[in-house]
Amino acid sequence: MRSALVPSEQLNMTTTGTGIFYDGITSDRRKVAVEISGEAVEVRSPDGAVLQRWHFADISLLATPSGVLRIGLANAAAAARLEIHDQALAAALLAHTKSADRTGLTDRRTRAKVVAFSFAAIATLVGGAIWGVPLLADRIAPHLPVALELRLGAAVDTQVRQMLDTSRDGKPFECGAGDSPRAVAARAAFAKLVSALEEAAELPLPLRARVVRRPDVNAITLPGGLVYVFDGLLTKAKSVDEVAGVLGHEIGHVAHRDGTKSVLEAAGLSLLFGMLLGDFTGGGAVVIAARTALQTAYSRTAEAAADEFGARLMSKVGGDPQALGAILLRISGNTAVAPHFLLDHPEAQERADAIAKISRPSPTRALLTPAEWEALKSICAEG
Amino acid sequence: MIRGGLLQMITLGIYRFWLFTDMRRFLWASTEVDDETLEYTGTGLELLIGFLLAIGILVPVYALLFVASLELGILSRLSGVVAVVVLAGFGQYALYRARRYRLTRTVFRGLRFHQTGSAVRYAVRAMLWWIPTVLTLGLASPWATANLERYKMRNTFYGSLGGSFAGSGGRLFLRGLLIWLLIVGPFVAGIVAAIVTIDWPAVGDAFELDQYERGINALRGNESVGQGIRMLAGGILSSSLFAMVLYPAYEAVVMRWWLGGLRLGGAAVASDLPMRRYYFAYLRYLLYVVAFSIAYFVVAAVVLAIAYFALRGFIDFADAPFTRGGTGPGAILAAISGIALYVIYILGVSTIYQVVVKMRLWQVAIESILISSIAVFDHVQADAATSSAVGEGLADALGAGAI
Repeated sequence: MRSALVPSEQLNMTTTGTGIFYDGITSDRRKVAVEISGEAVEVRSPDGAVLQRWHFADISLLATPSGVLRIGLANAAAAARLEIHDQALAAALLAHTKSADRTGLTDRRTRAKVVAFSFAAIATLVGGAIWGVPLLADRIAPHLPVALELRLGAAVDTQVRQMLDTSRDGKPFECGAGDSPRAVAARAAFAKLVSALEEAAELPLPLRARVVRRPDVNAITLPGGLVYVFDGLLTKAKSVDEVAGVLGHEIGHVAHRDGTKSVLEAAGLSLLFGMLLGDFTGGGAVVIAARTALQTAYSRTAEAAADEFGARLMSKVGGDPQALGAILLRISGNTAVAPHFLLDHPEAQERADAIAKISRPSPTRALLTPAEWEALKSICAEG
Repeated sequence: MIRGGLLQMITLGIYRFWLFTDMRRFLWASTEVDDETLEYTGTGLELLIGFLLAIGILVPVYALLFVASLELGILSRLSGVVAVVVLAGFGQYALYRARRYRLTRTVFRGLRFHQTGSAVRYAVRAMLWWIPTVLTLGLASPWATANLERYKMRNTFYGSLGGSFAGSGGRLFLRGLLIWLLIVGPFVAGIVAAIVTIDWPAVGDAFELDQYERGINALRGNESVGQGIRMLAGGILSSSLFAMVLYPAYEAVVMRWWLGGLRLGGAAVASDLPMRRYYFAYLRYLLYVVAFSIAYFVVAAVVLAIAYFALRGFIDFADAPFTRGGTGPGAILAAISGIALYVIYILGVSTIYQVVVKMRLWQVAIESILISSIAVFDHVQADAATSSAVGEGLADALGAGAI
């Protein structure tokens, strides 16, 4: 709602009238005479004494119901107010002031500024999320004490076990704990494979690798150097090198401290999107979508780096660096195609190609004897 | 309001500080006391700065809580509870500070309101009251509310004129008892019935079975378990139904009691707030939301269909949606438009709520009040300084902000 401006020829017609004045010191309601003189408005008591003289430049219009004009001094400590109910005088006063919006709405210029500022802020935030957060996580993670990561790992481990350890047949979650000679042999084979890789990897913290009773073809790394190789992977693997390749990849995550990094990244994203932006109705969906997209992008980078680390590690210990690519292609079936930035693990073919590029099939030595490999494959069958 | 909602969307919520300021200005200006309206003098910029300062306070707190949850080791299971309590305490602290901000930005007849008292003390008080409230399933909450209101009003001033709160917990308890019984009653009855019905020794035997499957089958085969669960579900269902239907009544009862307890100097407020106005407001809200949903669905369907047929030649949509392993630009476009449609819909519904319920109920409450000995407002002396908006910011950052 905008008040009509009085045409300029009428400006001089109404320059005096009455109003209600509150002086900002007491709540007394005073009837006063109001006069527009020059570049100011004068508030006079009935006996003619000038109580206040306000320059138009300093006057701010205040929100009121329609039919009343209320003005005050901008930036004044006391909230002195002048109210004018006389429409003609109100119109004359309005003609002198800069802004004519009396509804109290944020005025257009401010609104445009807020929008422009918001866009700049959002651009900064998005830039920060894409480049800043992973960069910071990369820099900070190596400097965090290993003890902190171990504690974090213990907390995550409890949760992961609750999620993964679903069998109720009474067998322990970790395989190869039995005392039978075959269990001991299986354990020894796994330990041999792991320690060969660990020695070559020069990790910042001790590796703890376990084979666990899960049918999925997978392996996971938790913060604090904890690697779980799923039994399903041992079943599907055609050679020791394929298992070793996967282990090398997971060891890459340990070496890069990806567990700590991802916690730092998640915290950074929470801060950027959750706290600064998220608090508007329906904003939750935007925030969740943005976080998912970004976190997947981060982990894609981390996966590629772990692949590279794993391949180099395999070359170092004399294994076949391309075995990881081979098992990746076989388990993915090479069918799933998805938009790039939303895939956690980069497409199998792409990963296999990248691995092939950084490593040549080199003369290999056996990492385990055939007998040890057989023992390892049956580690979960031995209780 | 609609423009405000749209601005919120394109600025990802940053505009909310200015939107809230506009809404407050409007509400304050339409609140008339003795032929004179209130005036809200806060600005969006103040709220934004307060919010940023609050973030500065909260980030270290979050970081501390996170580190503490790691350091405490075995106690880490408790750390979730600790975090909730700490943040809830901050929430109460923020509410008190936010109230101070709003009061000092409220001008009436050339004088500001202000609030004394300590926000920390208020937060501690509020949290201590939660203990009996939770233990009595909410029965103690009238006394908690009355006590906290007394603290707030005792520290509220208009110029040099001090406020107080005369509402008693006992009276609110009596007025709300029926509502409480109707909501909590079926729930408790359901639990009791389920406990009585279920053949517990049999359940115990089922848990003893070594195999998960066999245990489940044993529980399935037991007639009493099914019956008990049905009773519990019935109790919860009728509780929730009563809660939904009685919510406006509860709001009206509390509002009327609260208004009736307000005192400022010698002036007392009386309110004859009719409960049916609350029901009208919510019914209208329901109606508008249904109408809006139908209209939105139709428009969205038409727009999507047009977009689909227009873009079909350029983009392959066959593999959308994502959830089924979708791929390519078609799936991405589908996902983005899905999110956009959802956000616009939610913003629409929330705008309807703000206008049809929030602002309407404010108006209803204001219209219902009658102030006695209003003359005390005539010769009050100024006595106030403004305060910062950090409290508002904290409340906002913690999701406890309100208009």
